[in-house]
Amino acid sequence: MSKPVDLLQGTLDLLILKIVALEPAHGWAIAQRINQMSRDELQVGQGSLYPALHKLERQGWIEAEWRPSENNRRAKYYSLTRHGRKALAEELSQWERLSQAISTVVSANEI
Amino acid sequence: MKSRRIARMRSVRLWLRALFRHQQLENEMAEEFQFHLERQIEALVDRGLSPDEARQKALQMVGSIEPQKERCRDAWGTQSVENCVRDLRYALRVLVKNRGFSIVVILSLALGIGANTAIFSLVDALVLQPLPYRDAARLMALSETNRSSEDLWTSWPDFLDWRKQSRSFSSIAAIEGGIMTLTGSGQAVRLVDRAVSSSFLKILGVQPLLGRDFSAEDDRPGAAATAILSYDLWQRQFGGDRYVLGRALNLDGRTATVIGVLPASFRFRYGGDIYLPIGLEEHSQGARTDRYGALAIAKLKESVSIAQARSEMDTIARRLQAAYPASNSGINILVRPLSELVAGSLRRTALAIWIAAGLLLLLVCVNSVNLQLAKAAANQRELSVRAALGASRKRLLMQKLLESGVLVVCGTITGCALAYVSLPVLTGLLPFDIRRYIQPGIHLRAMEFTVLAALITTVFTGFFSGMNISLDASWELLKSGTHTAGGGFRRLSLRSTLIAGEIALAAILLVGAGLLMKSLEKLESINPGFQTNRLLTVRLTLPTGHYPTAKSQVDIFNRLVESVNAIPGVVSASGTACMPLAGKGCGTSTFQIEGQPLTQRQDLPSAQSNAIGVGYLKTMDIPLLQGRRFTLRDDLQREPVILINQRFANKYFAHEDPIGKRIWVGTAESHPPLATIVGIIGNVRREQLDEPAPPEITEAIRQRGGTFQQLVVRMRSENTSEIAAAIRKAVAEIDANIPVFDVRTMDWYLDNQTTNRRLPAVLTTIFGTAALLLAAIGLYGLLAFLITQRTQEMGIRMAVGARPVDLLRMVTWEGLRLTLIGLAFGIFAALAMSHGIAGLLFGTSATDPWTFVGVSILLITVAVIACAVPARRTTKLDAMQALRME
Repeated sequence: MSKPVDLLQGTLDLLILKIVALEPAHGWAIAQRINQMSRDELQVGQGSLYPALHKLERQGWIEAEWRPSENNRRAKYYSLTRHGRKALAEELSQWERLSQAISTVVSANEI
Repeated sequence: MKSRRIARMRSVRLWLRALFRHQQLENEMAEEFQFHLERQIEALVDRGLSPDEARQKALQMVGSIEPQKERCRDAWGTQSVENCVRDLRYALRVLVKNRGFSIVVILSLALGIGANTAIFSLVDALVLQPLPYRDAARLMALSETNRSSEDLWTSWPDFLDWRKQSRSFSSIAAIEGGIMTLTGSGQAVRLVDRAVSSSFLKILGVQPLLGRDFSAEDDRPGAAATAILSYDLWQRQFGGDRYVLGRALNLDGRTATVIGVLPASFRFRYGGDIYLPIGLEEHSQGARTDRYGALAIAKLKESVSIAQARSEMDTIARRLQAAYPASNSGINILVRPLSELVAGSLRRTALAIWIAAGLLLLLVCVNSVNLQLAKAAANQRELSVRAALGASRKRLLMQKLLESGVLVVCGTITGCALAYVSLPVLTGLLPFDIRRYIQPGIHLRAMEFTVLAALITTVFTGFFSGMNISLDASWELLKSGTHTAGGGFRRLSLRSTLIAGEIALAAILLVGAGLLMKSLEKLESINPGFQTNRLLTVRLTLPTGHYPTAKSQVDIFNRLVESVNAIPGVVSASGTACMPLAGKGCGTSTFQIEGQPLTQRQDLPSAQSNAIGVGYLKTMDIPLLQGRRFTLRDDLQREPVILINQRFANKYFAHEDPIGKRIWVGTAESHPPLATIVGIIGNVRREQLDEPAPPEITEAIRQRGGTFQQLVVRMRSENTSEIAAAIRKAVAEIDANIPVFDVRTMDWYLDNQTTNRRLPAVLTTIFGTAALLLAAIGLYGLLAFLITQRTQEMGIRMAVGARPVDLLRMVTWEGLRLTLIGLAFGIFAALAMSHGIAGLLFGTSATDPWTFVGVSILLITVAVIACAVPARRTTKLDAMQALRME
């Protein structure tokens, strides 16, 4: 049942929160947006995307709503809740500290 | 903060939806995945792929859907609950499939738990519950003991000294019982009265419902007579009239004013209908030697322990011994909690039954573990398959716990129903005076106990029956593909141990049942000295003052007996002062045989004394051994004559003929006339059936009179109520002021005599029988399992020449061996334990060899049958078939 994780643990959550913070989006759109925004560097598979979405929904960070999509079919749109916005801010600052720390270490190594 | 709360609420809502709208969520998930797929296809088509290619590609990209869905479901957080529900459903299916097994386990659990719940309620009411009084733990009962007898009450002068000298108690009160007649409003009513110290109700912490408590002024000589009514009497006699306060009652010809009514909730073991102050009259009759009258209750001061109070009362007892050697030598003071006095000897009975019930529950647990192990063995393959398919050991263990949990829950519910139904029956087996006092019920405490017992049972059975999962190597079993794998060996030895344990427990219970039953039978076969069947007894008191002289008492008594004799259906009727086995109206008297030197008062011998009417011996069927009976000619004008019983004759006239000898009955100071012994009668047991008849002197009512009499009526048939009504009518016609009460058959009293022993005997027998049955089922199950397991081995044995009989013997021996081991342990334990119930036995030794031998034979017989039934299957075994199995 275990699948190799494409992204660093927890970073997928951050990406999802970031995307849906811009505007409500359905799962496929979120995956596309991550792909585009990372200039095709990041591929998010369906297998990790939807469990993450469902988990965030259960945590109450995002909420879901069924509405017509761009192709006029019903789709499940996720949007950030108020609590999710706070969580996003926290995650972001944590991410910044983490990436800073990692790049410090990594660049120090290069010398 | 607020947003977090909203988030949590949203989260819970989603979780509940996942749990209860599971299908809806599944559909949505499917739709979401479908949308993703189609959007992917569209995107690929946009990039120029043909629809078919696009679909192919998209499906590839999406990958295997089911694990993804599973991970989403994990995210919902309802997985554990769903597993639980699934397991529960599975457990139910398994239990329904093994219907016979389930029913046996549930019924045996119901029996064990039900018995324990009912018995606990009884024990709780009898022993554990604090008395319904304020500061019940500090309430003590004080009584006197001498060297031989346990339970003397106290004499009035001693009580006064205690009250004066003791410092341990904040208050101390005396209670004295009596019978009174209330007249003045229609038919005379007989009341049980209690003369009490003014502090009596205060000690118990009881406030009157109406009116006031006794004050110290009410409780001294010369005070105006006052009375407090019990709630029951107030309702019964005065219709709950609030204006009863201040009313003057005519009690035994004297007037007393009602000052209070007690609340309905007030109960006291030695309670009565009406309460009067005890100190109203000087207790001139209360000699220091008269230790039958009063009971003292006292409340410990808060800072004083029972031990301190005991040592103080010991000092006082020694002081009294020194001051009054004639009356108090050897007299000690017994201080014990009031609760002990209330339950009395029943405490021991109740605890013995409780232990028996506990043993039964233990056996039931062992048995259900055993049955579950047997079933588990049968389902071994299935378990292995589940383990192979990835079910974790924890899951399988959980499954086992659930299964036994379901069984225990069903058993507990059935058991509670059983307890609810049987408790009134059990209570009905208690002696009447206790029954009136306590109210056992399936209360909260009993339920708590039951739930605890059920919980322990679940864990016990679940743990042991689950243990085999960890014990055997499921993988090995599956690989070997046979259920004769060696993995079962340890489990089998566990089961054998359990079976031996069951047999040991059954042996203990059966020995207990055997000893108690033998005692009961011995007790019931005692000849009390008279014929008890179709004998009706009636008590009546002549109202004080109406019949002042002995002559008037004799006359009215003769008229009463005559009119009762005239009732159709009455074979014969007569009267007596002391009713055997009823424990009422019986007294002792000192006496002096003519020709022997007069000595000091306290050295006079004493004997039981009675007075009987003409025809009493015939009515009761008491044999005349020598001399003559009383006749109509023995009246007040004649020289007094007496009868003695055989014990008396043997003790005091061992070497001479007592007929014609003369005796003073009474003390030398009272100058009684000399009475001539005219006859010797058979011994009659007095108050207790299990106590041999004491020496007894019998006077003639016609020569003595008396205001308190009992009628004995031998009836032609068992039609008691009709004759009882006729007797009431006949008495009322002669004098409506004479109360008639306690109209009961002698069988009723006889029953009451054996109650104390019947309850434990009957219950232990039921438990023992159940235990025997369960052990037999266990043994049967084990052997049947063994034979299935060893079919192949037996085939080989047969192939090399073993006869079916040899196999039969081999298998039966296997079971018998366990039986003998269990029996040995059981008998050993029973020998150690039976001394604990020695106090409940009568005429039977705690190590009665016949009981032990009988139980052993019974157990072995049942075991042989339980073994032989499955073992017979071996004789039908076909060697080739057996070898080909698997």
